Amino acid sequence: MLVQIADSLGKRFAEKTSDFREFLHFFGESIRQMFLFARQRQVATLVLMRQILFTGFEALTLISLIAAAIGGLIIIEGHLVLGDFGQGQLLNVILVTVIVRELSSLLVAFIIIARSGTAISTELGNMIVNHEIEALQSIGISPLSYLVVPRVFGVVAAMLTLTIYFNIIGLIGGWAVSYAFFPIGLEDFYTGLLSELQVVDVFSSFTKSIIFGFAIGTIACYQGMKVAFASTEVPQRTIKAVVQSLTWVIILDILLTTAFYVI
Amino acid sequence: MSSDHPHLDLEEIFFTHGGKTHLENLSVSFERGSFSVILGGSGSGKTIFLKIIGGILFPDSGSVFIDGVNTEQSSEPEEKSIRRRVSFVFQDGALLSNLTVLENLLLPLDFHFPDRDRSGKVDLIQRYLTKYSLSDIRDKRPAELSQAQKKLAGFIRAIVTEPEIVLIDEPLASVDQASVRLLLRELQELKQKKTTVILCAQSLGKFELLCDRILIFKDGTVLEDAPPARLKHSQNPVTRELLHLD
Amino acid sequence: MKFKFKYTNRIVGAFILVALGMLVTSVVLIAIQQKVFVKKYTFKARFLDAEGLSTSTPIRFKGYEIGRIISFRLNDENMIDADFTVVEEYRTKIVENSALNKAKNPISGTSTIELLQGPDPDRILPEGGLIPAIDIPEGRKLLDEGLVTKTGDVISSMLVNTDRLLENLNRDNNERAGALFRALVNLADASEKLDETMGMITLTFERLNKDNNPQDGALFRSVNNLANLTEQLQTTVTILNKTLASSDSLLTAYSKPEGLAVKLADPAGENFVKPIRQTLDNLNVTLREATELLAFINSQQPEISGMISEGKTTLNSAQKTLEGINNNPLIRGGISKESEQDVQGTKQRPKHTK
Repeated sequence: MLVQIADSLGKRFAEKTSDFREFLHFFGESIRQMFLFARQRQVATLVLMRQILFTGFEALTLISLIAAAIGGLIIIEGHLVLGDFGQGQLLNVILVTVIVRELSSLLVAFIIIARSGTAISTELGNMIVNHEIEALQSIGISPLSYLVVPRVFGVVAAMLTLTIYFNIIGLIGGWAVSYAFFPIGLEDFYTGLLSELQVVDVFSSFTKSIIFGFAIGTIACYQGMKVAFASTEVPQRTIKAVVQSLTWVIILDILLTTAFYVI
Repeated sequence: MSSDHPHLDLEEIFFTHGGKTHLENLSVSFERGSFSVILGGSGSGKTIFLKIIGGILFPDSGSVFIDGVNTEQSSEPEEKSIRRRVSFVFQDGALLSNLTVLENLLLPLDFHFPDRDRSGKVDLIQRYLTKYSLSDIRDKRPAELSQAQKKLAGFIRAIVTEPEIVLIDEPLASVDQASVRLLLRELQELKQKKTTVILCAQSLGKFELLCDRILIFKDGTVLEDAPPARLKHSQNPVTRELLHLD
Repeated sequence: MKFKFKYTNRIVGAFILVALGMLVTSVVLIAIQQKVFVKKYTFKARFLDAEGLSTSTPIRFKGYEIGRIISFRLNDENMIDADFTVVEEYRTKIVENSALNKAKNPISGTSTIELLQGPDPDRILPEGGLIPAIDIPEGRKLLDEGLVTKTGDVISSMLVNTDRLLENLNRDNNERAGALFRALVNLADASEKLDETMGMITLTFERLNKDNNPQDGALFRSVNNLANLTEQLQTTVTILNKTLASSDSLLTAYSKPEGLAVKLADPAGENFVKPIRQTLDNLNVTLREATELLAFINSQQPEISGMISEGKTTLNSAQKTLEGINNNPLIRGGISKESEQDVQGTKQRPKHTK
């Protein structure tokens, strides 16, 4: 019995480490191809632009709505709670901490995982099933350089751009939404807010978005490319892509926040 | 690129996948400008054979030489040159679903000739599309095309770079009569241009007049390899069945 | 969809450019707001501790930000040496004999530093000059000599007042101690007396139990039985009455009997209960006053309420103890419902701010 359990555990460990080694190999090769991106820009630029269009531009409405709502809610709730303490000026600190430092990159990452992470792994999985990857190989185009690299770059660019929009819409839109309940002058609001905002906040927000985008893009591509031949594998891989992306984004967020603000 | 070498040479190719041996100790050569047809039933290994030549699959052992250059040991520029000179036509066209027909056809041109004028490439593609009566599908996506249109578009993608070796998987499968005529005409042109053509099919059919060599595949080995006239006298039941001699 | 694909490059370009434009604008606005491009003058400051201090802590004058702390370190005298910059516009506010007042915000944990300007606005302090905080001897001296006065924003004022209150509370037998201090002293005295009384009452009841029955709680059981059995009640009450009268002199001072035992022992309540009852009433009045005073302070500033909430908790405990005696089931009708607390008083964490 114990031997069986040990065997089973050993086998699972071996599988996991093998998966991880495979991922590391994929990751390393993708990084190598990233440096060669300029060489293949003629064919890969289209993929890159479409990825930014889909992941970034087409998600802008949703991101704007969420950002304005979150910003407005923070201002309304903040006023209600902090007003009781006579600490209204702390609202700026909370806005900067919640929106700029944390929520902007995290929420944008979640939305990108839901929209683009799933789309990328499904698309790549189906491309394998439909021999499209083989078609690329037959032309001589590396699937990594043509499919993976521009997608990862596209997700990173979209993530970064959407984070900028989220921050700005979250702060301006938040003010606009809350204005209906708590009329604060825009100038007053921004004078207080801008004096609280530090360069490290902006820098951490963008660093996070770049790293999150990189993680989401790489994981989604890896899972998509892991489809062997059957279309039934595609949804399974997509689920894995979502779960792994969410897990890694949260882990990376903790690590990055610690690196920026604790250490 | 010496003329002493055969145009394409495969030596002792072994290929296994999923515990099954698909190709076993296979050694074949093809001369420049030859038109060869590989006949074999399902699972005979003929498509895998083409994919190994096309650089899509890699053998467990053995080597593929194109103009004397071992494809596995070639440098990056050599590899790119080989891929420009060898094209593959997939059974279902295998067009990239997120690109339009025009973008699909531009892909090999953009990859192999990045410095060429873009409008010149588009004009070239437009000429092919007109030739195949496909002008109206130029900006459509593969999902909007018929099976025959996909196949023809896939064929144009393979020949648009004017390759030296064209590998074709089941060219006439699920294609209407009009498209069959177009394809045969194009194959005829390739032969006239001294392009090395290797196609695989389940029956010889209309390729009889074009081909100068037939390879009979069974269970990953070459059962017979001879010109069509000679194979007509073969006593091998597999050959006779594939050539519909009985 | 086809429109989007046709103009992919243009849409993506605009999408990124607008974002970059907004980013650059924001960065420029931040830079302007934080006066990044304005010439700054550096001065030195010295504090007792670094609590709540950070590299971006603002220096305020009359509630207006005139500069920020840029660095600080622990010196050989175990004090904090800090450098702060003041923008050109407010450079003239830094005059000789100025001091700094650091007050920590209990909610954010950050400090606000208020510049207490020296008396002569024409004697501008040269760049690099030292400005002490009022919590170190040099600063305190300026304060004591009247060269600077504590004023500032609302929070600073509140914190300053809190400081004073704490000072008074900390000074025993101080003539200048305020009403709160006196109330607390009185309360403490009363509590001590009540504590003695409570000890005596406890002793009395112990004796009561022992005198008439070797078993514990016999009196209690007897009293309960007496309530139901009229004849036996009379006998037991007589014994109890005698015992109470002879054994404890304190109970003779009790008035207004409400509990069963006292009712039986002294129905008029004239001799027994009145004096101690008065003491308790007085104490209750004192407690009520103290509570009202605390509630008033609470309503003025949560900072103060948090700070004295510990004191209030102590008072509350004392009040409960006294009420417990006052409302002993044998004497009155049971423990009364807990008086409602001021919400703010319990919300706050006590903070010692200095």
